[in-house]
Amino acid sequence: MGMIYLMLIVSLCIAAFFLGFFFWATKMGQFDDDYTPSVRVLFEDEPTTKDE
Amino acid sequence: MGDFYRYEAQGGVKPRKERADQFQFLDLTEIRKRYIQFENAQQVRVTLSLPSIHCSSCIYLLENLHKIDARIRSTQVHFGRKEATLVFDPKMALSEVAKLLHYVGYEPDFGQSNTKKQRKKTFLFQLGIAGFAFGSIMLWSAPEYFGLGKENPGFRNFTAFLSFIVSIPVLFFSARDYFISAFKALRSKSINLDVPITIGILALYLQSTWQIISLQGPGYMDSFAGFIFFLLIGKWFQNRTYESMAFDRDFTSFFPVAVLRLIDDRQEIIPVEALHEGDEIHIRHEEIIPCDCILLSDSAYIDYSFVTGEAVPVKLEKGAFVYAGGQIQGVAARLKVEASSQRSHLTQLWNETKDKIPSHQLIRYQDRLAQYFLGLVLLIAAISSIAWYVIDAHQILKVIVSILIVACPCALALSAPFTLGNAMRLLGNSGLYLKNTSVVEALTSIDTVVFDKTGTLTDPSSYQVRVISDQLSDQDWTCFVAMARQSTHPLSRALSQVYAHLESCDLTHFNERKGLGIEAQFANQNYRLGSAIFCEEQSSGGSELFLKVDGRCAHLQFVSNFRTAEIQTILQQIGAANCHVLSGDDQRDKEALLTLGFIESQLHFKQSPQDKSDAIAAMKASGKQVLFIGDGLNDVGALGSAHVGVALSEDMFRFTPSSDAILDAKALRLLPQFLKIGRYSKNVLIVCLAFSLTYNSIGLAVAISAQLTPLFAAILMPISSITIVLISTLLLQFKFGTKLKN
Amino acid sequence: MEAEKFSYDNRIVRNFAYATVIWGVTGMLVGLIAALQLAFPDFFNDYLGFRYISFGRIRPLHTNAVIFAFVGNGIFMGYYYSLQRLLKSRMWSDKMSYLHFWGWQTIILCAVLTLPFGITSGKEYAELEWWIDIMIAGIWVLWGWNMFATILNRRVKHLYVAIWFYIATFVTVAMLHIFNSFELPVSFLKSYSWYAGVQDALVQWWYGHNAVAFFLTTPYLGLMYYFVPKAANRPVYSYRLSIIHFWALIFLYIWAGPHHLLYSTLPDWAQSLGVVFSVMLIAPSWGGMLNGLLTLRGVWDKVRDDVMLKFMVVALTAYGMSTFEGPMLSLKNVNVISHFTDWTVAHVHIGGLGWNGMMTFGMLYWLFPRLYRTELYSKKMANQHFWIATLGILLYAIPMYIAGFMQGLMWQDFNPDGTLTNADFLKTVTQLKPFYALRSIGGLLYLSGAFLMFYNLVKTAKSGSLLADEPAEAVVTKDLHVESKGEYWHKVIERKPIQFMILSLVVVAIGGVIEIIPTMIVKENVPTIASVKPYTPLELEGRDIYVREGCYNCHSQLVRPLRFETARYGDYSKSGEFVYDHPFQWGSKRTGPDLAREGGNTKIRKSNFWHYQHLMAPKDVSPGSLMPAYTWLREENLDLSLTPNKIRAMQTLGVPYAKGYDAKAVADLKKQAHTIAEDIVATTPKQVLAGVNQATLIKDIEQKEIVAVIAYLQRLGLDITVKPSTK
Repeated sequence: MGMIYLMLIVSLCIAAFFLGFFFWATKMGQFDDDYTPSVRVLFEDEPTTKDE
Repeated sequence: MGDFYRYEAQGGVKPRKERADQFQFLDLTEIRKRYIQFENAQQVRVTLSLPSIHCSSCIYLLENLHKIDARIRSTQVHFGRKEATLVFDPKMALSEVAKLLHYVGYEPDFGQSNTKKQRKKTFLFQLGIAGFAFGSIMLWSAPEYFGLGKENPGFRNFTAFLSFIVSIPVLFFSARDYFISAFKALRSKSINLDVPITIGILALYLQSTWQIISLQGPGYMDSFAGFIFFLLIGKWFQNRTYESMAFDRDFTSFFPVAVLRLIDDRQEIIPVEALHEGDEIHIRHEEIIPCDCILLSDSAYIDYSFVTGEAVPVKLEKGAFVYAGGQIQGVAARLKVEASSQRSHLTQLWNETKDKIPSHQLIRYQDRLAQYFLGLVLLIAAISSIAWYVIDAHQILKVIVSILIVACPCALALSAPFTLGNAMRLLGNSGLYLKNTSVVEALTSIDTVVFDKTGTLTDPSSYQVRVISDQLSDQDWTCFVAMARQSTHPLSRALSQVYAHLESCDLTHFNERKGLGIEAQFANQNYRLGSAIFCEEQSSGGSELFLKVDGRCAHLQFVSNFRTAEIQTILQQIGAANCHVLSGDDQRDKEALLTLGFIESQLHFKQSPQDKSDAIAAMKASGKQVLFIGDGLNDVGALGSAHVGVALSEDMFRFTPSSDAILDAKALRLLPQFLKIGRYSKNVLIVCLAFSLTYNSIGLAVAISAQLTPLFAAILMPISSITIVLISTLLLQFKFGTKLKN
Repeated sequence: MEAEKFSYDNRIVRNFAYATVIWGVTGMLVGLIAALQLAFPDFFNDYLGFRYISFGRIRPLHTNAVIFAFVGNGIFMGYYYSLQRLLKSRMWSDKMSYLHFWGWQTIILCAVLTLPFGITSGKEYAELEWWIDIMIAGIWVLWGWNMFATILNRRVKHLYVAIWFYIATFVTVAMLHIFNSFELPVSFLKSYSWYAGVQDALVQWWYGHNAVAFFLTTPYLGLMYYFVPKAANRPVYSYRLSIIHFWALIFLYIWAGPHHLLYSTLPDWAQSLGVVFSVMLIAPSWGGMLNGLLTLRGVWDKVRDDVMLKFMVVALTAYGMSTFEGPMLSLKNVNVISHFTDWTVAHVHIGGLGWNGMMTFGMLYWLFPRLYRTELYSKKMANQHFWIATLGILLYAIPMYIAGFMQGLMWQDFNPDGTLTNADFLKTVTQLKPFYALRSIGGLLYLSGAFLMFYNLVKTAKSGSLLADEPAEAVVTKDLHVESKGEYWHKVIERKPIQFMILSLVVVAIGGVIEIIPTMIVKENVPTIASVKPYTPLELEGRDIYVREGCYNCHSQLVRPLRFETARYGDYSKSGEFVYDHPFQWGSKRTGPDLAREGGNTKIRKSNFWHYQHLMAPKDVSPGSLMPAYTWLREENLDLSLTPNKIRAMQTLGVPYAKGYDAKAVADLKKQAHTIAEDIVATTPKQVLAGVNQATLIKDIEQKEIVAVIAYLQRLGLDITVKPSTK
């Protein structure tokens, strides 16, 4: 079952990658705000017209 | 939502005009430094608390501030915390930023400090590692669970070794707080719940490590990681707080950051801390007096609403003593500092109570339980090792380790966080926001409720009008009500509400004289509405308003309405015998309170802030468990000394004095329910503790008979934890979840 | 300072949108043809008899087209639209975007140009040949490069939850594709899987399952988190839940591969592992579904009016159903019935037609009016499409569920005397024909709905004009929270996307090496069976034809250790039997009987002539058979030019042919072919041979491909059940 070892390690590597990603995201404050981003996506960012 | 968010400079929130120099203090270098997070030649970054943020369009408006003022580079709103982080041009003064925010309707609250959150991140790391390890090890151990591990020893050792590696950071990072806590407890020669937890965890880990290294199998690493993971989830649940609410406001949050000092007719802005006794200061309309002072101006109107909850300003004459916390109304005043801000009456009251030790009744109860528990476990371990010495001496070590492992009070440790956390969530859903879960503990045994009167029992936004004298014509009334509609003064508003049925008329030359009243022209006649002085009439005290035109006059008195329905419900359900009132006012409302159902001997009037605090302390001394509800800064002492201090608020996110909980005024009638939840949660906790001890006993029985297997441990641990979570959630939810909705 | 002005690239979105529609319609059409072949085999097999659209060749084309062409392009369409807007940045490189687009279409075209010609690697959902696999890897990395560079150069700091799903998709699919596609090329058009037998199966289904997880699920969840709130114009129900949902899903999905191999020769513990994790998957999957549906709470009136939301609601419901059903199917007692039947087909089509299809339609209807700055040409038509498609799904899935359930039970039926009730496998298939006809109608409806949409969208596009570069304005908030004291290490890297990519490739390479090493040092512990010998050159060639014709699409080669299986086919399969199978041919669906014991079980074993006749005209031998007639095997000469190469390739992969055997292989092959041809002719009824020169006939037959296939079929299961001496 050599394959199982390989898969286990590959899976572990991916999982470890995501763990690192999770850390990075936490550190960067990605989870600081768990509401505002969901509203923010609804806004369109059309440019302002010049005659303001 | 599309069109709704379409940006308009005038839309959404009403732009406001700021007072001149209102934010000038922000440009003082030392004050500015407090708020600026980062600064270089290109940009300045600042995070400000904006209590007015309340809906999605606020996010849109604020994040498009750069369209109003190009010097603002970007804004990012944190809705939950009601904060915005702004990056702006260094050429723009901080005061201008504040002015802009004020203009669009979001006045920054400079009293808020912005030091939070670092701890939370470390915690998330700990949780992430434990969760990752738990999931992975569970996976690798699955063949073991199905009894298939021995089929393939190579694979088994391989995964065991992986488990060992993965669990190292769990031990040293995720679990470290428990070790530290246990170590501290032991060093202070006491025992808390973390001690048996630590012993259990260590036993689990060392036993597993030994098994793995000696190639005997994967050990209990799954249970180990699971323990930590569940414990941390419990902690996470317990530590969730209401981010946008401030429970720990320092008195400085209410005071201005800087004041205008007068030196030889020269004015300078200085930070409040730099004020000394004897300094002369200049306080303008709507500014708050930061320290106890003597009035130097001839007279001044001072609004003590922050302090007492009374919305109507009082008039003081030259030489009068002015307490810190009052707000100047109308004409600016000159004052002489009597005591520095730190030493004002209010501050001292505050400082006395701020070190209140949180009631950790249940935790202490739990810790005591932990002591007995630990003693018992050690005893059992001793007895069974003796027994095994007789039966089979080789098994002794295994049995002792097994006992220590299953005796790990994981479920016990989860009982309190989940029960209290659920109760807190339930209370929050219906309007009572607790500072933390230890307030739930304090709530469990409350037997006495003490009310502040003004602003708590009375509704500051609803008045009864008593007409003392009236010489006015109907036409006059129409004009006066039209005038009142133009003003935002609480009494004017009350007037226009009471006479809402009257039509309007076109007034000219409208002029609001701050702190005095308003005047206007109609049909070439001068109409005046305001204080006795303004109308040149004789005051009779209390909240009053004069209407005068062409020598004709009307004299009105205003009395705040009681929240009758709510109070009656509360008195009925809690029992009048358990309710007290501490009022700062004189006895004029005594009758009304008695009609409501209060008991005469339990009404106390003319209570100074210190008196209130002392009264509460006396009740506590007589063995009562006191909950105090108040709303003003004058209640700070009482709020602090009560077992549970509840600040009542019409607007949850604005000024509330330091307290253990904030109660939405709309939910006041639910107070008896809240107390019931508190009491009930104690019962729930006991049920949970019983369950977790049962699980431990089952485990112990197995361990004593030397039958413990990793699979058994791996099943027992999550099942006991999940039972606790379910019991605590469901019991509370079923009993109160639906009741509180209406 | 002014906010930065820039523009979003809408043209690339438009391109992918058209590709989605065109390939979608094509893929569904191919699916319909495949479905019709099973419903009306007489017409297709006897009347048309086209080798290029025979079921075994066209079914892989269908699966590849709908997964990688329809859904794949749909993913990229949604990605390019949402990613730019979520990051408030144009794609990092337009050139890369368009290279990605044309590269991806080329890959699809390559698939279309290879699969019908039998150029396949023979692994389900990964049939494409080695050089196309390399192209896929290249284009995928190109896309990832562009995506990461855009992410690193974004204007906003926060990565919306959709983007995490995108990243997860990229990383895992890359990894899975690369690991599953290790192949040893024999020629430009032929390669062998690096792994053999059980190992190959394990990798294949690890890939297969995760292809579902990370190609059909995570990207669409990401898109759902963007497009559903956008369409409903309300924030997602719980953003916090979406975060927790993401992490739970990611950490669980990776592990759940082996459940496709229940009752296979995979060790029990490995199967159990897959089951546990599959069941655990319900929680995070439903987290996503509920989060999507609850987003619409309070706006159900909007759902009534807005056709786009209707599509999404059905999509989410279908997602919920199939993610509930999936774990159920992984339970052993359910799997006993469902595996190898049309139940699985129904299950994947709930996911495919329901979740992916309906979500894609919803996105298309939402995107076209925005890309072309106009109103949808006909809302009524879109509504009609919705109802037709929904009806189509039901008409497809329900008959398939019934068919699967029926067939699964029929296989299990025993007479009181212990014999199988349906000993004749064909009986369990012919009864399903009405259901196959019904599902073809379902498919036809679904396809016609897609055509309706095509027309509607083209008309919409005509009535407006493409806003190729949509102007936008945003302020940079990315660096808002970076502390002044010292930079984080990744901050430094972020500014250098190319270096970052190289670095990550190095890391991946190191990782790869570390991962390979254990397979080399860990002793191979597949129980070896001494009697199992490598295939003869003729059998090997026959096997390659078996793969070419896609026989595995209808015939499994795996007898499960269950009474009704062993009673029907013989001894259950052992891992050791497959050690020389590059690639494994276990299959996943039995439209025809299992072939694992075809040559070994004396009760099943047929004569060479029977096979000859059966391949030439299946219905003459088994009346009512759905199998196409493989007359072209009799027409084409066996190509021997690659035989020595193939032997050498097998030797490289560890198959123990004697040293220098490649030189002797062709001679051996001819000898064996001659024997078989002789046997066929010898057993042919005399009246058939009347007036034919037998020697010439033998000489003719022995050169043909059909001999090789027969040789292979007769070898199946022979090694462990029959003493080698019988040969």
